[in-house]
Amino acid sequence: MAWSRTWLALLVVTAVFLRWSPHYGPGLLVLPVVTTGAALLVALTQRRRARRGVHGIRAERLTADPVGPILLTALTIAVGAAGIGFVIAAP
Amino acid sequence: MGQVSQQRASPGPPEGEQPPVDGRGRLARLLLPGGEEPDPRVTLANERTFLAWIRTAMALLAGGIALEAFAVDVFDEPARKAVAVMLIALGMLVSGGAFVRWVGVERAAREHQPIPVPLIAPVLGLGGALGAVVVGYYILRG
Repeated sequence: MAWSRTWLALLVVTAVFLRWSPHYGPGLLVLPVVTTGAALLVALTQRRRARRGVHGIRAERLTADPVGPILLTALTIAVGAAGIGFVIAAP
Repeated sequence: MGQVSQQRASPGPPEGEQPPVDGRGRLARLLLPGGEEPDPRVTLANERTFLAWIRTAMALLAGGIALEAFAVDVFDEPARKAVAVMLIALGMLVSGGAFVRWVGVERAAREHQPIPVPLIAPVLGLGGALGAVVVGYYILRG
C-alpha cells in the first residue's frame, strides 16, 4: 500500500508538470516522462517486493534493500532541481 | 528458524578477520555495516516511514510547481517565485532527510540502539508554516 500510494503521488507530480508543457515546449516533457517511468517501475515491481516482505516475516529475517530508497531520493532531488530551474526560468 | 537463531546467537569474527558474507548486497553492507538483521517488521516499518516522507516531499514539489503554474494572478512575480522555490527546496531537503533517517533508523535497529529523533520534522514544520503564512498573506491581501 505504501508503495502504491508512492507511485500514485508520482503520477500527481507528472500531471502537475504537464500543466507547464504549453509554456516550456517539448523539452519539459522529459520530466513527466521520467516521473511516469518511475511510477511504472514502482508499480511493476510491487508484487516482487510484497512477496519478499512476506517471506521475510515468515522466515523472521529480512535484509534491508537500500536500492529503492536511493533511487527514490535521487529522483525526488533531481526532479526538484529541475523544477527550481524551470521556476527561475519561467517568464 | 533454528538456523537463524543460531546465526544470531553466534559471536562475531575475531578482531582483524574479515566478517563472513551475510548474503547482503555490497551497497547494503556499505551503508549498513555491523550489527545484525533486526526484526523484519522494523525494517518494513522503516521503509513505510521513508515512503511517507518521500510522498510529503513530492507533495511539496507539486505544491511549488503548482504555485508557479496556477497562481499567476494571485502573487507578485518575485513573491510567487520565492515561495515556489522555497517549497521545492523544502521538498528536496525532506527527501534527502528521509533517506538519512532511513539509514539512521536501520543502523540503530541493527545495533539495538534507540531510534534517532527525526530532525526533518521540525524543518518541515517551520518551512510549511512559513510558506502558509506567505501564501495566506497574499491571498488575504487580494
